[in-house]
Amino acid sequence: MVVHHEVKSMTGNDAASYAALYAKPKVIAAYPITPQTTIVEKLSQYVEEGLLDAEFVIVESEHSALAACMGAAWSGVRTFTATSSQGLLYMAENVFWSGYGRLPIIMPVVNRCLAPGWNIWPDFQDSMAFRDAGWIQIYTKNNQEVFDTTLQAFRITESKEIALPSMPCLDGFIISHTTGQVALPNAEDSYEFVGDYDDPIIELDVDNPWAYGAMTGPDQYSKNRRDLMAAMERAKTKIVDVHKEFEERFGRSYGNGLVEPYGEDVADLTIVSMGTIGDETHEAVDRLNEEGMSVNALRVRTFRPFPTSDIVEFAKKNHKLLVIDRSVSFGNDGQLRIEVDSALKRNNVDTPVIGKIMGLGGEDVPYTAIMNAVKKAIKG
Amino acid sequence: MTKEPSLPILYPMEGSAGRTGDWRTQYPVLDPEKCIKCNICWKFCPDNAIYPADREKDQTITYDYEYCKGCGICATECPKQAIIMVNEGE
Repeated sequence: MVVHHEVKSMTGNDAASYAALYAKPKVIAAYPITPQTTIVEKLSQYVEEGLLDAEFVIVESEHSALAACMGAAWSGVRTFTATSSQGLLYMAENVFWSGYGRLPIIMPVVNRCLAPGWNIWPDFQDSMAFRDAGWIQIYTKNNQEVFDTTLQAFRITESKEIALPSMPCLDGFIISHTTGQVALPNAEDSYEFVGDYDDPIIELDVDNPWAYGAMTGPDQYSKNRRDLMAAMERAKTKIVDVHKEFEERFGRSYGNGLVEPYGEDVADLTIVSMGTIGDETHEAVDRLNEEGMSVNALRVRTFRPFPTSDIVEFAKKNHKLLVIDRSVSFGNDGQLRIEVDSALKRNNVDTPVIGKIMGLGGEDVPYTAIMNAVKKAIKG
Repeated sequence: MTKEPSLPILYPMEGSAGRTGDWRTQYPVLDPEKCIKCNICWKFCPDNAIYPADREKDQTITYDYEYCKGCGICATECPKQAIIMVNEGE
């Protein structure tokens, strides 16, 4: 049964706030100054108005914001914050701490490029810097997907078999500050989907005290990290399952939750991308096919865990991949391209891969630019 | 069955870091005549290596030398200078 929705117009930031409002976190912590976003501003308003029964902790830095969330997570309650660009960098130590510590925190990241120069437009350089921090990263394409993904993230992160914090990622400006349609399920249905956080991953117990993250020898340390590796692997199945359950309940889906294909199953060239570029790609695919070319697309939704087998299977039946990156690992190439290359190589798939870095610092990536890149790639 | 995550968590236990008394270069010695059984040393001991005094039973504090690292905090905090630090082997 698909539940009733109310269509509202709102920014991507508001969509993330609504998902948090409906999931009813008990603690939200934020440093309320730029580069913080209206995600937490809206939530502070909901708390003030009595719409959300949560402790809203205003702290003195992003480092402290995530530290407060970690404390809340240890106490066994649902926990939420949000950040962006420099703010995420300022959190750095605690991002790794909470990822490696398996703490259930939901933190949308508004993808804004990093200074210098100062710039409020999107690229993925900020969250890509935390690729290896043990967080689930899901990149969204529009305001609707921000709401849907943030709601799903609670289910994934808070399950004991996963126990990994989540970053729903949304392109700065293009999603975060642009108003678009969002079909909102009602608050009760949304909460029913998320469920109570009543079987906490960890919970403060004064009668049975513990210390967290104290001196740990190599044996236990490597055991913990291997368990994190295994949890990331399990998260692939979990993301697909939660996404499927979401689809059954709310009638919306994004591929299988890990990757979203567009167009024909087989084409001469496949455009692989993430975020809003993945959405713009649809227009490019349609127009190129009208011009008589054979092009399809694959949007990578989940970057961590990386959907290796989905990409490999898609690449196997296709002829050439054009991977568009909105971030760079300086000294090598775009991170998505590097990882797609590696996935194919390790699985003995020899479909050629061409990389193209586009949209840094919010440089506009219209379908015309994507079409040009495709034409060059087909020739090349 | 749900798999439980492997967390970096430690529960308190005696001597989880081994016999830390081996690390000591000085050991505390109490003068029972001076001890007023206030238990300030017991409160300050970072290693829980002091058994508290009991005024009703007229018992002074005692040390657990298996785990006392010889930091000397008890000697510093004692309001009656009833504790002195003595070099190991002396």
